[in-house]
Amino acid sequence: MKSSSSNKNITIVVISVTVLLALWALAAWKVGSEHILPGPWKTLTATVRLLGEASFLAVVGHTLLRGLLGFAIAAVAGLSLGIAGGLSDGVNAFMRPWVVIMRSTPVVAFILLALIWFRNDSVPVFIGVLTMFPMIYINIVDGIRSVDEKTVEMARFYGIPRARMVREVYLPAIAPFVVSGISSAVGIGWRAIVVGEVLSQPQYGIGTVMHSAQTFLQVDILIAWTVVAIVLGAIFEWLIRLAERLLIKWK
Amino acid sequence: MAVTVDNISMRYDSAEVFSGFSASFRDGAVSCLIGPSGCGKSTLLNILAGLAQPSEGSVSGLSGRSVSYAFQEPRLLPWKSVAGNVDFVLDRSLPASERSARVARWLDAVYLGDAASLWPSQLSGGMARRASLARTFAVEADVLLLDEPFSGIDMAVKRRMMESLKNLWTASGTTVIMVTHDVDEALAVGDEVFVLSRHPVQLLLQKDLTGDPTPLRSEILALL
Repeated sequence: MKSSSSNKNITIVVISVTVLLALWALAAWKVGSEHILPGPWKTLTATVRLLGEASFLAVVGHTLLRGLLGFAIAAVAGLSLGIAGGLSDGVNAFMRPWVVIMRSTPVVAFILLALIWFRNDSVPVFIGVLTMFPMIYINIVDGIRSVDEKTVEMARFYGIPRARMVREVYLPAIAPFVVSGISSAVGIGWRAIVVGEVLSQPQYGIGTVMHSAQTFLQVDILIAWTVVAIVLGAIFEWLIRLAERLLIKWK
Repeated sequence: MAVTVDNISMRYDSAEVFSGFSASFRDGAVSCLIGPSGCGKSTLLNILAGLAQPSEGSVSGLSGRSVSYAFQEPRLLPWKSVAGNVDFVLDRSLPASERSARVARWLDAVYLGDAASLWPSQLSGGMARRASLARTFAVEADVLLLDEPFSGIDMAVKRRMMESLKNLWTASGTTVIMVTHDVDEALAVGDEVFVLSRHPVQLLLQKDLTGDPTPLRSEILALL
């Protein structure tokens, strides 16, 4: 039953992607200019060419490194402040306005300010931290608040020592919230970092090469890099789901 | 030494739950507390467990004795298997082999031997209740506090469990203080019954269970 319905879903996904590619090809044929809208085939060959270029790894590597650095800073800050905010109403009340501001400010406003304040290389990292931190923070706070008091009372009654309480009661309880916080943070943060690169133009970066492709009207290259960014984003999402399945087996 | 509450008083919000209430539960016996829902039976167990403090009065007879508590809700950890939940409360100074033997023994006692590796999310309400009872019993404490231990358990399983547990408790001399709203449960496992009224809790009747329970059953039902 389950496998037949997942087979059906795969068929639907294949049809959906085919329709998308067909519409794209149709639009490209209608436009009739490869400089404005290249078709899927032309884009695919451009993507394959990119993969063979000497600078490909440097470009992707720099963007990945910025993403990783921004994520690490956001995760450490979000985890530690989130735990503090989950345990203390005072800390959470203090953090609330910061988080609301970070979440409601248009990303581009932060980028424009960061361009004035930081070196080009650090702008995307800064933007990544600002977009990822609030997602992680909010999820950790919610996770800690979700820990069932009655279960904690039971564990205390049986004299479970603090280290085991943290390891066997609190951490497993907040794990699903950590995963969902990280998942939404990475989804948004990855895109924000690329936008940051477009505007700050570091020497290497996916955003940098997208911008120069746009300047020189190399639309096939621009879409090819977009495809690369999408594939990398999908790989992150897959890795997070994999970690979730390994960490959270009980659901 | 009997487990005793002496002259306890306690308010909950504006309601007076206990006002100078006293009761004594015999050592090595199964004492069943019967009363209407919400009368304060669970609060009494919480006071005995040290999880609630009366504003006045005292509890005696528990110092130096191990106590295990079957809470009103199963309170299982969703991320531990059934066996893991039972093992969770066992003293880590016990050898691992002794711990796993105890887990197996008490899961069998509640007819969950086959369910040891299931997650709590895979259990029915009655199975979750039995898993939490296995956890309570596995501690092998001197005193057991049981809050509606058989509620939600299938009739057939419940009857077998009550019979075998009663024998185990008698053999081991365990002191059991059990809250229930079901007269027949109390008559099946109790050595002594306490009938309580509410607001504030008063002891309406305290009787040893010997001989034919039929007249006592009618007497208790008339009080509830």
